[in-house]
Amino acid sequence: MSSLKILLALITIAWASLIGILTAITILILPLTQVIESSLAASLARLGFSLILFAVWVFWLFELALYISIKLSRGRGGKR
Amino acid sequence: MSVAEFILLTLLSFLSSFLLSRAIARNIRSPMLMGVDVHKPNRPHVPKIGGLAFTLGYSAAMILNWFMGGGVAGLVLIVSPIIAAAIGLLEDVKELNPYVKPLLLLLPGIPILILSAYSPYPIIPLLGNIRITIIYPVLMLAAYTVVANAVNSVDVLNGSLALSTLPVLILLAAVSWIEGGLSQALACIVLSASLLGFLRYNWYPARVFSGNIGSNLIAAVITTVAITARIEVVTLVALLPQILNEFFIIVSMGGLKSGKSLAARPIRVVGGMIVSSSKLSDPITLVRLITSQRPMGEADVSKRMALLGVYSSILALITYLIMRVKLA
Repeated sequence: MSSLKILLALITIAWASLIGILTAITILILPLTQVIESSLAASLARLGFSLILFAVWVFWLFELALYISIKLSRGRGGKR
Repeated sequence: MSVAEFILLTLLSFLSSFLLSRAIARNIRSPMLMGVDVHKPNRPHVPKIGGLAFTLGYSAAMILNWFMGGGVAGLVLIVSPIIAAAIGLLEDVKELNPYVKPLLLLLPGIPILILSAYSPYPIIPLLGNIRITIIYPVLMLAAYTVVANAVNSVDVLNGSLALSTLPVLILLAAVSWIEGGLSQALACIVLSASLLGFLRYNWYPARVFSGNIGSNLIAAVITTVAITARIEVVTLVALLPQILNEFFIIVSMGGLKSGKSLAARPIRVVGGMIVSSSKLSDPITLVRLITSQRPMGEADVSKRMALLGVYSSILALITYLIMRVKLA
């Protein structure tokens, strides 16, 4: 498979997982933090949890991109 | 605004950007304003403030739009991008600390805060509106610095910046228009026209580079349109190639670092062809991934980056349709 097709697949995975993460934040994190009485503390908790989820998303996609890079360059005979 | 005025402003921005790009390509020779085209065998020196051409073309058209009744959205679509472009120009003539630059790029969001040109109820696909009144202004300011770095990260090859952002601007113009944001739609079309005028001199082999002034302007226009037209998630999806590229670079390098100070390179040039690095530790970038399988010419890589932009814009359109179904 060409590198372009693989990148298109990577972007599709990133898109689907981004929608999933936004859904998870809205369904799980926003209601969960409503139990916190102070609105500022609740907002900070929402921001913190959301950033953790986004960080996990970014690192996961990075590992996937690294794996793709290794696989593609092995195809052309690159040394690792 | 009439259709004739819309077309007139678009033509004005295209022509002024085209003529100014030509003037910059022919007349700028100051060493401070020249960059090296490292992907050519003879490493020519090229003016690196070509972004000034489309910044002026865009600004002239949008100022006229504001005088014709552009409103608050029309005003922030002038002020925020000009602040971002000024920061870019500063970086083009003077190397900025990699930690100072993201802080400076929070400034373009300030006019939107002052003029309350935002709504803290973003629309999430499948779920509808959410209320984040306290977090939204913080995220909004951060969005400028994230998008500016993301758009800047794809400005690595001749034509790659313009080609990869044009599909995003066209999509945002269409969605803004449907949502009733005429100033936002005009901003995207005017900037697209300016970029086409600039592309004539930035396409392989480039006679001008965009520089940070250009990439910052594009990023600020996209971010301001996303916020004022309330299409934040659609924009995020359309910019996925740029944002992934930026995050991959940050993770690879272990934090914010100036690219010029790093010895590790994701690609090298052999006989005029771009070859991806074979070292595991070198940064992962879109260009490295595109050339992983086989060496490619610079123009071919730029065309593939444009295709990624077209594809992510189609995904953004699907995201918008999902949002509309939920809200209907």
